[in-house]
Amino acid sequence: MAAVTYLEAIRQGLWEEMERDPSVFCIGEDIGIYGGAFKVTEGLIDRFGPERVVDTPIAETAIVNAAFGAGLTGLRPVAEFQFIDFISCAFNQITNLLAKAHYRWNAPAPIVLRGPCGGGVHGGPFHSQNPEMYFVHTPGLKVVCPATAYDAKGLIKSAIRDNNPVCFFEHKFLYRRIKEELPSEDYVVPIGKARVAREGRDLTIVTYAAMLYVALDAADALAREGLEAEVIDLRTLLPLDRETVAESVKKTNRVLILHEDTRTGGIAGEIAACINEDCFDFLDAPIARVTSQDTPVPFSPPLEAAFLPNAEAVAREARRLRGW
Amino acid sequence: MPVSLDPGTDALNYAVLRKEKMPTDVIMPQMGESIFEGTITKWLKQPGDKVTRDEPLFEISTDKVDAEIPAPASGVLKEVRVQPGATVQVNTVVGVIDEAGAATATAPAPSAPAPQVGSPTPNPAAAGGDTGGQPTTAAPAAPATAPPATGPATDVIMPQMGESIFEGTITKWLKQPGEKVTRDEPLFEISTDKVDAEIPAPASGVLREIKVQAGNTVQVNTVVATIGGDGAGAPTAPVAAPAAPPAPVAVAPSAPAPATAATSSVADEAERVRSSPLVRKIAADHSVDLRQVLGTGNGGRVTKEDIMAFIERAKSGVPQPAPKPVAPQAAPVAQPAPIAPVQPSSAAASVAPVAATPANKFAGVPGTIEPMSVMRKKISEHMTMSKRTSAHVHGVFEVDMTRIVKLREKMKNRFQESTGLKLTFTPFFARAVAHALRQWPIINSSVEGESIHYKRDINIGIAVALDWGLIVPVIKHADELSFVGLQRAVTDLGERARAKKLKPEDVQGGTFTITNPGIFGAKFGMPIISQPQVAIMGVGAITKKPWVVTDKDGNDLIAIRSMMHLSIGYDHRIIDGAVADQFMSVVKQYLENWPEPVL
Repeated sequence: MAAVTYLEAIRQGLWEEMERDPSVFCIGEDIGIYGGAFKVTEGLIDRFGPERVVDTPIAETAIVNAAFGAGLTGLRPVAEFQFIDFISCAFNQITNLLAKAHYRWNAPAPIVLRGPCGGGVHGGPFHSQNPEMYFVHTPGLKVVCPATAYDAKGLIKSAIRDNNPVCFFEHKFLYRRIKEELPSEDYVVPIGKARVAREGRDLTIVTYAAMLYVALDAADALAREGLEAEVIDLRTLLPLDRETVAESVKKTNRVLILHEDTRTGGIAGEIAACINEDCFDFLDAPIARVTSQDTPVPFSPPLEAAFLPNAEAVAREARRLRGW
Repeated sequence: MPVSLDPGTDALNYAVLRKEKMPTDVIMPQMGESIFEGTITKWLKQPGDKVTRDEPLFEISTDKVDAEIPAPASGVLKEVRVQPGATVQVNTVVGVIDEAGAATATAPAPSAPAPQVGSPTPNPAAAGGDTGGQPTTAAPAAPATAPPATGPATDVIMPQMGESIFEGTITKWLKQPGEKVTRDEPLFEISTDKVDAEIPAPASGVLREIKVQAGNTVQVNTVVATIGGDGAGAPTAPVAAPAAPPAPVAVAPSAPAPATAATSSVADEAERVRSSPLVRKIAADHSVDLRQVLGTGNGGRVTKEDIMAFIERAKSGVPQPAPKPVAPQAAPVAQPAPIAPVQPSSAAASVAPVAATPANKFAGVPGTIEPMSVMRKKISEHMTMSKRTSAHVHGVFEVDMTRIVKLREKMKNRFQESTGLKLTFTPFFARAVAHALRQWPIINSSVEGESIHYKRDINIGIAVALDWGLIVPVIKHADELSFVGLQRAVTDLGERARAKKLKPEDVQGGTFTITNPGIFGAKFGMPIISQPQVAIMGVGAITKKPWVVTDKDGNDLIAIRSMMHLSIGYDHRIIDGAVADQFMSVVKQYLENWPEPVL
């Protein structure tokens, strides 16, 4: 199969699941006739019809409510947020209805909430956020953040097949910038399992989504200085794969957590606490984190560049840990 | 037996009558007239330890001196109430000593004498029979947090009405002493710069005492009144608020303690060796004492590589490299500085013993944040204030010290034998300065508003570098001391400064300061004047130099001379360049033509 982009991989995943299971349908703004603001759902309406590719008003609250209702009646909706920043409009529906439906009423909520997150595209404060932690903090949900085209397709399938509400947060920066050859046969990527993207022995870098590529760039630069970094792509944030992280820390004794999300309340703090609990005795240096600044995402390109982490910042932190 | 009017005080009286063994309060002492608070830096004893009267019990830092405070009584330290790092007002009870063998439990909260007011003297107005001879000035009130309702009295405090509101004015008392109050009933009215408000009573009971009258402004959290537990209290005369500035509150900040109060156990020693969880685990697995391991990491940290190498060498019997000495917490040991000043005649260069590279634990580790010590804060404030106050100008002079260097070389052994003191350069400078100050009294003055105060005494401050900062003890009446007396004073002040044994009067009253930038090799310095003085002299390093000298026939030759720079920092508000330069000429002449014997 020819190499496909990250975006195309998601589209293929949606298409294949809709083929496989007639209860799967898509709902969101401009996803039908228009094919989606980013064209993730292009062509679906021609194949599956308007009843399975539902265009909605600009009303995320209603989208999720409707999806919840559909889920209660046995359907498996995939709800799209045109920019994930707007998911906050449906915060109540997601955290109080979807997340608690099974616990409270033994009611099904097999819903996927997907949309493009992340910055680096000069989108400004309302089109560049990484809201994963609001949902990582909510028991009853799952949260996945694929970084590769392979994982994007495999995880959207797993998310659709999962009976729990799953936040599937795509990274818009990766949509057309990465391409991979994908297997032609059906495959899934399990939710809740991290992947070692690069092996190393001197330092562990834990990351996810677009920052995977920043980590790999930094690792290359550090390798030229004799520091071999192991890079872990979390892929799923909730439930967190603590074991893979701990195994790596036990091997390298130094760890740096990298995420594009802002610093305070970002998952680096949670992971640091887990490392503290799981493998404190194996640390030969403090746990470091490289994150975005605690501000809204700037629009101005130089400000945004200063706001986001980059490979040089990661390398600098890594050297500091090595010299501890 | 007296009828109980005030359970707290009368329990004390009653116990005294029955000769019960009562616990002794340990209080924050007042180190000087103008010192109102102190910070506990270290407890030298822990609860449960025996203490002997006058034995050093805890260390404090005030804005004038650091000091060791002796125990006021013998017994067993029962309780430490104020932790290191906390700053409390003078007379606050910081600990309690039980007389040895005293009953431990029993005594309910009130039996610690007058806990609420924080002063060890019983409340004169409340106790029925006592004469009200106690002045109610001095020690401001106790910590703001009122004790729970089980105690006999509740503090009523000036509340903080908003984030940026720091004081309030009492406009009206709605109850008078002796009246019953119900919790939440309006008790007094205040006015702040944001709001006026009625403040409810924090507890039910009887209003015992109004400490701050209407019309007075006090800081937030000041105790303005007390409410007694039951309704039987005799009405107390309202106490006039002191006209003095509002009483700040002794709230213990939660700043981390700069020095731990740990006893020196082996575990603590190992703790002090910087390592990491991994290294400690490896050390434990291999039974390695981390103090034996050389640390090559940041700040001397023992890294994983270090301990693995240590274990390897131990296995193969290779000798281990010596570990770095663990930083002592007490007064620094004078060790040769690892980077010696690059001056040929470094033997003659030092006025004071060369201090070691900072031997304290907090040697500024990159990537860490360290709160300022009390001394550092004070230095920081004084330096910036001095720069804002004086019009600083500096002049530099070069002085031929050959005569003095030779004299010192010749006399130092005899001087030591005769006086027991090491002969340093400092008394030479102090002598020359005292001589010059007599001729130029304006250098020995201070500025107050638009007046110049010419000081009668010549009190020369000698700056002493400490491992944790700097301090300037003062030689009082330096002009009246003999040369030996000057050396004795210099030596004594230096030793006591480094041992934290200076008294407040040792650092007050200076009229001129000598500092020594040359000790680490600086050619000269541009020091900041110590307010409220108007000048400061810096002594540079003494180095041998080729110099042009003229012989008695008028021929110019090059000779090797021991040369030194002196710098004068002076306040151009009242000292002009010509004056400063002439003053320094006198100093220079005196040093270059040193006229007197040292013994």
